[in-house]
Amino acid sequence: MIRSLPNSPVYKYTYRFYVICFFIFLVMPLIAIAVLAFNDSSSVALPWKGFTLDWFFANTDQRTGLLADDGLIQSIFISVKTAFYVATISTIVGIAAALLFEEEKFRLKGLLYFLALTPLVIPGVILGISILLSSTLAGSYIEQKFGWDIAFLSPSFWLVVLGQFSFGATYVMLLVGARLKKFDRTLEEAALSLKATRLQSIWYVTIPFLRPAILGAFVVAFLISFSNFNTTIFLIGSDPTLPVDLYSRIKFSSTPILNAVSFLIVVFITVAALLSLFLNRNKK
Amino acid sequence: MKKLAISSVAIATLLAGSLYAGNGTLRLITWKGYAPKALVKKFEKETGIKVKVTYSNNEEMIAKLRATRGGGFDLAQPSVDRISFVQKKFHIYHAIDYSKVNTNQITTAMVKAAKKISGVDGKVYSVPYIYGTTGMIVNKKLAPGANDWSDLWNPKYAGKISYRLKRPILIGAAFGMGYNPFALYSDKAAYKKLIEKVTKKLIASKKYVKTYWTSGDTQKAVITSGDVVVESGWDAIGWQVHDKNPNIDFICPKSGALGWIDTFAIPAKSKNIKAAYKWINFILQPKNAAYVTNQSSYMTVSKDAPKYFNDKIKTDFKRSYSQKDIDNIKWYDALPSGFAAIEAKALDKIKAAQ
Amino acid sequence: MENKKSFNITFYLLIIPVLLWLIILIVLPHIDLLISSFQSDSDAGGKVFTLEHYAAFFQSKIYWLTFVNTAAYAIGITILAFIVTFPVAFYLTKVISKKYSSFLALLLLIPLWVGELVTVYGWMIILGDHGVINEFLIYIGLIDKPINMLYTNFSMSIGLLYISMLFMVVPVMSTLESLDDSLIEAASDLGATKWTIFTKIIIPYSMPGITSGGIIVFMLVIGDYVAPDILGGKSSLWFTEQIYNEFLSTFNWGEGAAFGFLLLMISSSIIWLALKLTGQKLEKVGS
Repeated sequence: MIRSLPNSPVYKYTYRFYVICFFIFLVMPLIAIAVLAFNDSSSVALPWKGFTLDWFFANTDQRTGLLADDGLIQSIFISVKTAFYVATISTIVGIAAALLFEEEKFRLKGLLYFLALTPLVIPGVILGISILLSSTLAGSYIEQKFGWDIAFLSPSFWLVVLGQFSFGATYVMLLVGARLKKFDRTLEEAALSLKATRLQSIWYVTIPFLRPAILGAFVVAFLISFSNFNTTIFLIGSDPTLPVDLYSRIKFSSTPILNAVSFLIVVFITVAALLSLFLNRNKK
Repeated sequence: MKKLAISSVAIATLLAGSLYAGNGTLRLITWKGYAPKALVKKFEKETGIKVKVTYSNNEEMIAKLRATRGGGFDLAQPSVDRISFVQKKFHIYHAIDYSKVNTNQITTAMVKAAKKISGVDGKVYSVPYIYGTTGMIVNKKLAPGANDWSDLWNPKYAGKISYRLKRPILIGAAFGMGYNPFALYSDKAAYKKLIEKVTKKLIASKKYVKTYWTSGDTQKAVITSGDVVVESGWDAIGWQVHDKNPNIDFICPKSGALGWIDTFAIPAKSKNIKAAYKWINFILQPKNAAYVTNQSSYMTVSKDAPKYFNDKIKTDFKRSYSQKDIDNIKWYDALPSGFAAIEAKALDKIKAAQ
Repeated sequence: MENKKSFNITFYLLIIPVLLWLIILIVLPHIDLLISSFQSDSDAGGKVFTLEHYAAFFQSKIYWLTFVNTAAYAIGITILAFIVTFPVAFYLTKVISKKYSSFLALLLLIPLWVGELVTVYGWMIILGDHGVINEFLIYIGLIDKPINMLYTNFSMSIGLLYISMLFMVVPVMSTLESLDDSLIEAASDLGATKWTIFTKIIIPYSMPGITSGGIIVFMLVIGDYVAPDILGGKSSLWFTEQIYNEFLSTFNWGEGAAFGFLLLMISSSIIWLALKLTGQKLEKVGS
């Protein structure tokens, strides 16, 4: 059953076969995307018609490659920009929340912590529509009362950032909080007894200790933002993020250019994942 | 390593910021095929205004403009019949200043129609751009007899039928059942009853439907592949398919094709109204308008464009529209408020039925 | 605490951003969602109290049927995700040597970070009439006409399972990691069968992981839009699709808000029930 126990060969091989099947199931869509990104055919389907790089580089009347498709390139940039802001704000607020809930005592702490966790169990759709509703309400009120048109209160780039931040901060809080649990509080107390202010001790002692977790949380928040669709779709204005752009293209018509961009995402994530594995191994 | 990653992200972000900044941008929300790349490039060169195109459809376009309270885009292209009721309720458009529109480029009848249908309280909210009809696309070899809306629930073609589950199918089906839905625009209760009848019909015949197409490209794909032999469709799409497979063509249903006009409308918070008018006047220039039509087969309202049409368009048009068909086109009138909700409910019901 | 004053400043520095986040982006929007669901536009242009949105839900069979259907599917897929992934999680933590397991565990995370849209698109390519599976089966001569797989409840379920199951693997693996092998060895030495060990030791021990995994999977599936919309068929109406339609194509925000609130209610009550049944707290789900 486990490593140290003997097993019958039938059991062992059936089990192994099942796990192999599972991993095939897991990588199948990624492989299919990757292979068809290089198929010399205008439709995203088999049969294989030969190898081509057109879907990355072409710029002719019949075929537009990824690099020549301004719209797609722009939505990639918008996604990167959104993810950068979301990760930054989420990291700052998430650290504050982690410190608050791990180190401070105050009334209603339990309730606040519960609220901070709710984004984990609220469907993204609901977050999207409720933020849309309340920002519209606030926006129209301000417009009628003062005549000011506040851009981030109607669907736009910044509303997307706010919407994604609303759950991004929770993930940062949990990741940083987990690390904070392992923190030796006597270090902070030592700093305090050396007449450091509480802020100084956080800045010079706690934050450096948390640094790996903070960097990790930043990356996680970045990736969560980069791939989010459910909340984003309600909040975008005229700047679609990559998932929203992909969605509308899939709905309209799919061409292998979608495979090309998906392929690049897969490669990017895989390389990043292998890199992190490699770095962690070296550390040990 | 991670520092490097973060700083490169930061640089990319700055780059992205500089890429689409600037005042000279026209944010256009439109249908696919309405703003061909070549014309966008030409316009950018002539005026120095950058055009940012977002593809959409009527429902999404209106919902988006409602959410932004008329912001986010500088120019939109809804169908003419969906403007007035939205404008009355949500005030999301600017009135059109016709003195800034080069109207002698446009067919007079179309301007008149746009003014009448999209008028609210004496103001006009649209400039016509492209018109066409929704009729049927038929594979004449595999479905030789199909010639009316009622063939969309003809058991003879069971499993080989497709249409889009949106408003036009309700209207088309009503005509196919022998009613005139437009005559009931003044009587909400009667209209509701009629739509209920249509809903029942479409649910009962749902088993014959292969799939509901969702866009111009998907309607093209299902009929080209042979999976579908009869479908509701747009004239331009039917002609595009006809080029590749002469057995397939667009036809006007016996009980009347549905005529629509797509327009330009300026959202209330447009940040570049000047550019919007420039684009309208630019794209309706005879040569440019003819380019759009030649490329996509969508009929332009530009008056002198037909001079530059290629022969294919002319023959397509003649083949599909006899004089009798043209006289029989049912043009959409302005949709009264509250009717969209009735139709939306009906469509939900059909979609959910087993 | 001798420097009480600076302590307070820090406290406020920490709590203010957190309060702003929770009140402005979580609490107020949900209150607004609730209020909007009871409002409709009056003819005069103002807002009036109404129950019509909820009435519309309970009176039309299609809405609550879709609702029940969606919830049932979500529960079914959650169970399926557990059945499919538990053996894998166990294999990676307890059977295979540590050297490979960290690599394979990493492989598990890749589809997760690649994002739902890309993977759903991948399934669309695989299951289509001219997709990878059909072309392969035709090529080897097993069938001569494509099998209709895409745009059915089958393809929708595959997509939903795929995008959600990895959220089951990760927490289950982390609880299994801490299960001491000697427990299983001892039971085995005492003559317990595999089945007994499985039901009496492994499952009870990994229950916290299964619960948090199950909750996340359930929440993702019931709130998903992309997989039902892209892979689902002409009859697979998902409840979130209703909400999207109300907001993004018709403009009935009031009804959309009511539907959203109902979705929130059912997902929270099922999650609450799951927590009660297994005697856990929400705080555990996060970790």
